[in-house]
Amino acid sequence: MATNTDQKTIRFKVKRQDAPQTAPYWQDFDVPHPPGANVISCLLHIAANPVTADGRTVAPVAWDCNCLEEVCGACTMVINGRVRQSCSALISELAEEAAAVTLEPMTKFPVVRDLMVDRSRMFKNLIDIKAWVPIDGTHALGPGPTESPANQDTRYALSRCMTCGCCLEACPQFLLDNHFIGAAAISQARYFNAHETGKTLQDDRLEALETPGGVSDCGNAQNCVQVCPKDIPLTESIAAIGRQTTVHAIKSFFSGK
Amino acid sequence: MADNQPRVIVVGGGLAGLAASVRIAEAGVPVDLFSMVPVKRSHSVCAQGGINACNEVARQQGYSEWLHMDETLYGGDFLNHQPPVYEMTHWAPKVIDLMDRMGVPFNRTSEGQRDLRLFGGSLFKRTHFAGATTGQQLLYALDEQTRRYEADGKVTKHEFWEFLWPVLDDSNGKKRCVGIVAQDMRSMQIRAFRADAVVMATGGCGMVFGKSTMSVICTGGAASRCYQAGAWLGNPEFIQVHPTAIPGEDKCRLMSESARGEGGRVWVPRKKNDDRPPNDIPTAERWYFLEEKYPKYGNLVPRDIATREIFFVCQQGHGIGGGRMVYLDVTHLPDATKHKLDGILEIYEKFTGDNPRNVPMKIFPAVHYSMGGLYTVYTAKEDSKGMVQGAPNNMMTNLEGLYAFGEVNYQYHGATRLGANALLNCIFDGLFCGLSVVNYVRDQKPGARAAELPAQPFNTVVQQEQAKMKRLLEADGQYNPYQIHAKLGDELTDSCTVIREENRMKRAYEALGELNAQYKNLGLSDAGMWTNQTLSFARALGDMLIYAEAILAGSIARKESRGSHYRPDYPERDDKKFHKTTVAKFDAVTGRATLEYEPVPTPLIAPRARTYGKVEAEADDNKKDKKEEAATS
Amino acid sequence: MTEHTPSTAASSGDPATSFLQQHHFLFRRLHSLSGILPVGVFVIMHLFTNFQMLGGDFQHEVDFIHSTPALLVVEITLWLSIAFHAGLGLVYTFSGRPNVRRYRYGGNWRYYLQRITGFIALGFIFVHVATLRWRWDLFGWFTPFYVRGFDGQPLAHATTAMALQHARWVVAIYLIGAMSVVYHWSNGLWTSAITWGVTISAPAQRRWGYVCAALGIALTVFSLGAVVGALKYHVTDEDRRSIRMTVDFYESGGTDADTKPRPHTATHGHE
Ligand SMILES: Cc1cc2nc3c(=O)[nH]c(=O)nc-3n(C[C@H](O)[C@H](O)[C@H](O)COP(=O)(O)OP(=O)(O)OC[C@H]3O[C@@H](n4cnc5c(N)ncnc54)[C@H](O)[C@@H]3O)c2cc1C
Ligand code: HEM
Ligand code: SF4
Ligand code: SF4
Ligand code: FES
Repeated sequence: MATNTDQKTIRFKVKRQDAPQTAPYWQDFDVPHPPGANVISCLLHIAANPVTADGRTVAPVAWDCNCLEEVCGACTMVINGRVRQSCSALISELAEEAAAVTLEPMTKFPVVRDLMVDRSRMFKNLIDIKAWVPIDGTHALGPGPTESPANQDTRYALSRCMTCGCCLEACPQFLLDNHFIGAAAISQARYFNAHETGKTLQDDRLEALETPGGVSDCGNAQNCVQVCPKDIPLTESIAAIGRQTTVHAIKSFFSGK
Repeated sequence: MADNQPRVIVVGGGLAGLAASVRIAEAGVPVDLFSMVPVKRSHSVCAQGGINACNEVARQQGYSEWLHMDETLYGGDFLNHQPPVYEMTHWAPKVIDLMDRMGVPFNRTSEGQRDLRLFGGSLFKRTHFAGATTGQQLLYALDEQTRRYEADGKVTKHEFWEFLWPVLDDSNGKKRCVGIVAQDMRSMQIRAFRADAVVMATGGCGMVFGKSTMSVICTGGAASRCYQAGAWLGNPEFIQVHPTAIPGEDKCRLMSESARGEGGRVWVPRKKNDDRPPNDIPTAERWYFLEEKYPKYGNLVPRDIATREIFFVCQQGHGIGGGRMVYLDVTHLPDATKHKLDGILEIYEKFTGDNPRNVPMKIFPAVHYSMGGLYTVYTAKEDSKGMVQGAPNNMMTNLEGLYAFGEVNYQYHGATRLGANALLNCIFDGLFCGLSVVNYVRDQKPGARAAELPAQPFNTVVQQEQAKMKRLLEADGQYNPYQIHAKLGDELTDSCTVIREENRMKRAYEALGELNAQYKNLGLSDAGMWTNQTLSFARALGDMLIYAEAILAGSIARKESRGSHYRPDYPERDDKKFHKTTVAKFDAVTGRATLEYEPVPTPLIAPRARTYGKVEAEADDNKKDKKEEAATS
Repeated sequence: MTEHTPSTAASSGDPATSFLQQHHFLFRRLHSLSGILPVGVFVIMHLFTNFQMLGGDFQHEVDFIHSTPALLVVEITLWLSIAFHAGLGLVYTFSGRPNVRRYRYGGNWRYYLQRITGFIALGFIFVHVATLRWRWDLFGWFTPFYVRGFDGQPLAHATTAMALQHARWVVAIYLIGAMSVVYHWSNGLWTSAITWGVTISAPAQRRWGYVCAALGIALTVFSLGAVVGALKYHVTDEDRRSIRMTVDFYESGGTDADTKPRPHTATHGHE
């Protein structure tokens, strides 16, 4: 391993876990970082040279990533105590915060290995709220409904959710072992309810969100909106769904089955 | 379990794979969908600029599906087959309508119609978009429809499963694909899955070049495995280098063509080594070289041309500070226009720390797209105007029952892909050729279903893959796969991207031999049997080396310049010798490609010179150099 | 349309929990409502009344409250609401896990404080009512409250003052308690507008936040005023004597009914 001596190095403290049932432990790595380096490029360096700061050769750190431009959502982890994407976490900025970079897996999802977690709960939640537009099929049936630019703007902002899980990791109400559905799925329900055809499933979505773990379990801490990397107006979505469920509940009290 | 229902396997959950899954499931055929990552995180999510289709506004200015086809063929330097391009461009409006119905938040005009933007290689606004993250919105829409079928039990997702090898059966005398062998990337279990047809929709191979604008799983490994199993490659040497990307440590991040489509301008300081901050350089001292050289298309010439111009400008020492960068400038655009580009401007800001709304971006070309891929066939209509809908062989590889959709399919783009045609080709493949898959599996005779075959062909492949894994895990050589990969990337990027010099390519070819030797002497730092990512990467590296050989061999053998393939020693297009598809067949004995050439029929449009109205630049250049001397003296 | 069992619906065999779960949304909304309306409105009124100790006619206000018809019904409603709100509040508090150390955002602190102040409010309200209203002697902290003496003499201000002047820590408890209740209610008013979907856009939430903050500040001023008013009151020997005798009266079996306002000249004992 030839480490360029005149390159700056930074200490990485990585919380590791070999398998879902085994106990976590910490390991330190010293990683050289050229300007422009980010956490992923450093993890790649560790993968190529898996040697700890005290000189032991260990198994490389496992982590998730794909796009490397903060759009696929795969590489989410807890960096220096805060949840974010590792691909867009620039070392130059992290170095200003602290002397070392700590990497931990997200705490609200089961760990698969090292920094990899299992976020299938998020995808399952999307099934629960029927996060789709119920089109008639793929045959050519003309264009979709027209839409005002203002509505498009609102929906576009919501459509950028990459199911990364930051909002859930930071939420005090979303826990590894409870049923809260979390801000991302609530916001997706709003997204589909705002579409002309998507609306036809609105009642089903709201009913799902009125069950335990639904929208009313939100405690309005508003951490979600602070950590969302895509600046999705999650607290507005929560309020909007709050209104929709309120109206839906009253309506179904008086005229429901 | 004798099951009379045919099943289909789709490998890949990008746009192509999801569109295929939806189309096939809709027809009532159950689908097993495989992806290395949750499908919603597939590489298609990165696509930014938009998706092309003829539309009423453009039509009333003289545009048409026919012109869209013509642009695609002209852009592709006539290496593309015409009937599939005809069909795709004529289907394009339907594709947009469908995505619109699925709820894709396309940008809107004040009246609520879909907004349009200009894109490379066209003089008409025909690109539909959702901000500057169109791929994300399109992928999500298809992901949602897939989830709907998943909830109904018609699509079974196998996420974090890696395709390892196709299973071929030749009991009927003809090789037929009857399933795949795949590995669970968490438990590392390797097993076979049966299916009456397999659709490969595994995307491009940018990782062969080390750094590219593509995602990290775009290794081309899956395509390479099919190639080694007997599928052919078409035009592997055609690799697109995108003109505008941010060079990075781990990846070159794309700054989409939409920046130029919305009015962004490419320039360099007129004076060499001008080290003033860009905003201090007055307009008169900026050289908008693309606009000057191509007055008609300006900044929106096709990518290969823009890329070469940028490359040459830098080679001549005109790059920013004399280096290898030029400015991409959107600072002059109105706020509302910048808002449409937020998706990419945020990327620039996040990764460089500069706000491109106020400061011109610094960009350089980067490997972006693979025009080549698995070789496929189709059934053309009698008049060659399109393909026969539902013909079972549409986009089938030379192996029966094995299809290739999306970027991994070599069809449609010829020698260069026009911007915003890839998303179209992915969705079109899935929808149009999905029906072909359905018809193919329904035509299978009962008794010949994959589910009814003996276990032997499946077990053979499982054993082959287990042995391969064992070999890799037990390897204790001295070479690290990540380091071999870095060298492979350097060699290919240096020799086989913008400029392809024969001697440099031959050196790279030799280096490849050395890397292959090192690969045989690999040592893995992880021998575990749980979520072993190193194993997966090391295995794909072997496949990348084989794919790289085909790219290099194809590039060396093609002694002409065409589209993205530019040879300084053969700077002209040579239709007589090379208006042909390169067909690469894997020779298992030598581990190399055997190249064959297949003529490209041109039933609809005759090839013409591809100039994009370039003004003869030389006189111009001389003038400039003189001016410069005057300025410096 | 296909049916999915939402993963959010935790199935439970226990009839009590499943009743709660079946009507989960309703209970959540009732919890919110019970916080704002019965409990909240009472708290506002109560604080306003107490503020009269600072210069206003406190005695008159208290008399007015105590002359409310069906006071008992109002009181029971209040108790039930508080019990309902506090009970569910406790359950909900333990359904989350605060993380202010990691995520030091204002909103997160407010979330955390909402839960802390809920606890404090619960304890404070209990102590407050137990000592003043029920006149319990809690470990020697005996600070009973009387609207009027057994002989009809106005005692509201004097007994309140006695209670607060009992010791410095009593003042501290009252300050912390009152501020907690004020914070909890005004922040609750802010969050409830999101919960019910009254304020949707971020600017609307911010604007409503200013309104709630203003309300909170006003209520804080009221409660501070009340405390100051109670502390400033000079408890005369006369007051002490009256209170002493009133206490004796009750300890020897007198009832509330006997303390209804009567002419000041009334004689000792029953007629
Ligand atoms: C940055 C960027 C911007 C772009 N912008 C545009 C644009 O604006 N307009 C346009 O038209 N085109 C654009 N393109 C091109 C376009 O995005 C791609 O060509 C297209 O998304 C490819 O889609 P796909 O479905 O073929 O494959 P991908 O989206 O790459 O998906 C491949 C799938 O295959 C799976 N897979 C791969 N290997 C295996 C394996 N071994 N086992 C199991 N699964 C496997 C992956 O998990 C993934 O699900 C852009 C490309 C890039 C890089
Ligand atoms: C003085 C009496 C109280 C008043 C006036 C009051 C008022 C309120 C109000 C208005 C809300 C906002 C509801 C919403 O966001 O929709 C609220 C929330 C809350 N209260 Fe109280 N409350 C009181 C006592 C308590 C007590 C004693 C507890 C329990 C310890 C408690 C625990 C909570 C909790 C946990 C919430 C948050 C609920 C949620 O956001 O889901 N409160 N309260
Ligand atoms: S507002 Fe707070 S409690 Fe609600 S979802 Fe967001 S972080 Fe969680
Ligand atoms: S809402 Fe934001 S933080 Fe939450 S999953 Fe989506 S993108 Fe991530
Ligand atoms: S790798 Fe896709 S978000 Fe970081």
